[in-house]
Amino acid sequence: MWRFVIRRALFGLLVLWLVATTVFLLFFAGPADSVARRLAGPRAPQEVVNQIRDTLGLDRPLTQQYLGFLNKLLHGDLGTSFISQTPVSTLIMASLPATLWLVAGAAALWLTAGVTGGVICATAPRSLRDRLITVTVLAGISLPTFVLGIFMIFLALSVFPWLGLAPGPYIPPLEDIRGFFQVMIMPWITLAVVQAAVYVRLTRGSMLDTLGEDYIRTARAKGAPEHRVTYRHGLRAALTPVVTQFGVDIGALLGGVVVTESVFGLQGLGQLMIRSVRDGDLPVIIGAAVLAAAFIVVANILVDIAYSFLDPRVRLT
Amino acid sequence: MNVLEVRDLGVRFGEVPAVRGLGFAVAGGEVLGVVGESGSGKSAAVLAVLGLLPPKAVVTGSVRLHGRELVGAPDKELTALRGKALAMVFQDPLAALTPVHRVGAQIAEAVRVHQDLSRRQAWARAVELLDLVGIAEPARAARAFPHEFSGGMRQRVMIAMAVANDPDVLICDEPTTALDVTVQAQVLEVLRDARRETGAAVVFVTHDLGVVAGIADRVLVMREGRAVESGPVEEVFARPRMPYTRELLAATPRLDREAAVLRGVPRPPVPVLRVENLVKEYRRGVRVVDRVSLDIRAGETLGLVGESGCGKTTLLMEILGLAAPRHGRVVVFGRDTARLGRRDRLALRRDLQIVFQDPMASLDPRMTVHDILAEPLRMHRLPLDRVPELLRLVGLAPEHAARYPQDFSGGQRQRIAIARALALEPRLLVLDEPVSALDVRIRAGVVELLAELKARLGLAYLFVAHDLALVRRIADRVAVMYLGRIAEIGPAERVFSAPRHPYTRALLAAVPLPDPVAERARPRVPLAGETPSPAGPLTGCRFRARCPVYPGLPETARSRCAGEEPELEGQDGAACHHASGGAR
Repeated sequence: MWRFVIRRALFGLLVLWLVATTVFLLFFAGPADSVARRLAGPRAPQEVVNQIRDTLGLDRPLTQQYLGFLNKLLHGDLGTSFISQTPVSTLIMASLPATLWLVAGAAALWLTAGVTGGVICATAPRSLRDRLITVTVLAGISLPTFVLGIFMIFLALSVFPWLGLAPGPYIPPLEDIRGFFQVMIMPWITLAVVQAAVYVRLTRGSMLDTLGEDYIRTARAKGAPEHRVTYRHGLRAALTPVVTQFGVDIGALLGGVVVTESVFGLQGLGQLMIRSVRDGDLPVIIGAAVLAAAFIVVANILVDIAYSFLDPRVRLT
Repeated sequence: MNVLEVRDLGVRFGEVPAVRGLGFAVAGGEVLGVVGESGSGKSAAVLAVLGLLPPKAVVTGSVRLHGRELVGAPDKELTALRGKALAMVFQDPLAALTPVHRVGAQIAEAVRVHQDLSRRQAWARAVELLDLVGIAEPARAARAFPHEFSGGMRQRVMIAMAVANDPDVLICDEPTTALDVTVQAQVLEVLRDARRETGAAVVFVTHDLGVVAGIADRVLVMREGRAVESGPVEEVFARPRMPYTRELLAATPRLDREAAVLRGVPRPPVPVLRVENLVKEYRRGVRVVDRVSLDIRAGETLGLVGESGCGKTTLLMEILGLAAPRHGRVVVFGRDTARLGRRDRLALRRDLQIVFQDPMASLDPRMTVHDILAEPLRMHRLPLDRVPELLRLVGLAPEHAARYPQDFSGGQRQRIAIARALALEPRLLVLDEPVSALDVRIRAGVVELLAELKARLGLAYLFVAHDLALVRRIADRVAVMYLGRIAEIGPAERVFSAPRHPYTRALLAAVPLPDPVAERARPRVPLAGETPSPAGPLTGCRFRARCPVYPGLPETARSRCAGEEPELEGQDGAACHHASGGAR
């Protein structure tokens, strides 16, 4: 197992290196003046362009710039934002908690609802309740996130104002736990509704396959009650594709939940990224991209480890 | 006193009837063999008894357990009976055990569902049951997962689970069909013990008349959902009243009779395939095929037999790959595969074709029969007008070319697969279990076709099969493989009538005869254990650990078996230091 983790971690580092290099080349390849101009924006005066060229050392050979970039990256130094003149790591650390809490809370909701819904559907395929659940979750996924978000804000402010629910800004749970929930519940539900549909469908399909297996019949032949057959013999084997999807989703969402964060005014990674792209704030873009890649790499390693716990036939090699 | 009584049982899937008006009764300690071909409704009938059919199946009639009606009984009542009074052993023990739970836990579950025991007590009972079904080191084995067990051991676990609550009725649905013949003999022995221990009434469903002859007291022959004939096993086998039963019995090849009808005509001994000291390794040092030598002459059938894991499929794939082996030599039609260029290899493929085991899986469902047969012709830029002739050659009508494989029955599909293999007019046909997926009556027809084609076209066959009685009918020479090596090779008649290697003798003894009197008169000495892994350290004779001769040998002779690997001399003999000169 440890050999597996180490090998996968090394492979993950390779991926991160490739991402960093690609981003670097995307922005820094080319003549010094045109790079500086690109960074400064089309309307910036020539002095600013010159200043950028000199402070970043764009005159140096590309290999030298690249080595300097990698060296800083390895020391965790992601550079300084052009716009706010604060270190990128500080900016990211400030935005990370909102995204982390948003994804964690929503994931707990959509995983529970998705798997439960999928199992309920699979145990009575083509029944009324199967159709009802399927239609409901499809409606959820068909609704654009911002529409759902705006609708929820409307409900919170106009119909149930006594609940005290409010859109952003993010409040850390240690500071004010009540405020934290009042801010987070709506984004959680919004993100979960969007995600749950996939999990219901996935669990339903996988569970139907598993319930058709011979060993399910064996469990019934033993005289095991139906709920035991479903959960003990069926669900665990059916979870593998769900876990795969879950890992991919968590990894991708931690990189920034752009729309949900925007609608609810949460200052998360998604917002940070959007802002830095709009402002051409290069160090922040690079930092956020590498971080997002890191989340995906780690999530995938965790998924593979989870497989070996779900299914003893899987060996980590 | 009948424990289980079935009257006028009917099963329908939608509009399609699977079982019609079936009736039978079984008394405690009695074994009823239910025999039929695929689609005869035998499995649907026994699943209906347990109420385990899918919800869309409609069950009518009456099933009584100790006089208590089960058809239409509430689910709760049936759940309470299942696994306690009514237990079942299923066919494929790999698919029938939950892969994610330890075998001990699965047996303990069966115990705890019906008995008020603590976790620890149930586990102890599971270990006890594993011991009862003959699993070595039961305490350790209980902690294993199903995939860590061999097929035979998994089926023992299934039986342990079935007898856990001392059932009144034990239903076995093809319990030995997925197993090798020596393992089948062991599992049948365990089932006999289980019946004795529990005194249960046993319903034994199978397509294998040999197995029924050995284990059943009474037999029920089914066809198209109905009972065709039933009676005491000796009577049905000796004096079958119905033509269908007679047909089934006639189509079943018998190992104890000479049947040279399908042998080839003698031809000049031109070798078409020569394999010399072929070795195939997976990973370092694990030899799946180890120094195998054999040859096939023009117009000859070499039967290759051996149990699963003996390396016969790997051997086939090595030959068919036409690539240079790591060790040894493969010479096809006088040409060494190590010295072939890409173009030569393609040309040589014309002469060497294969027919696979499962025609359902080996024919592309999206291609018409015409396309399937024309594809090899196109590949080799040959005229396509041979297609109708090919269909006629295998006994199908040329009009069938426009249809798809799924429009045909299993036997017809295998004929299409044979026609495809013959499209390029090969000289050597590799047949990998060509009839084992077919019903016995269909099987006889395909085997006859193969014999006829061989005689007409002068083909040579490399015929891989686990059905020894069948090999006896069709093979001119036989090679018996064990753990990557050839244990015995020789003319078919000699090998079957006077086997020299103890393994060959054990293999032949394990094949059940479709004759209750002869089968019960034979001494039952199942070969112990199962084929070990080729990854283990192999010194001396690799059959030694299971050999029935070895323990009785004097010390000096034993040390020779342990220290020196016996070699096969020539093309007629046995790789054994103590090969017997004759009688079984």
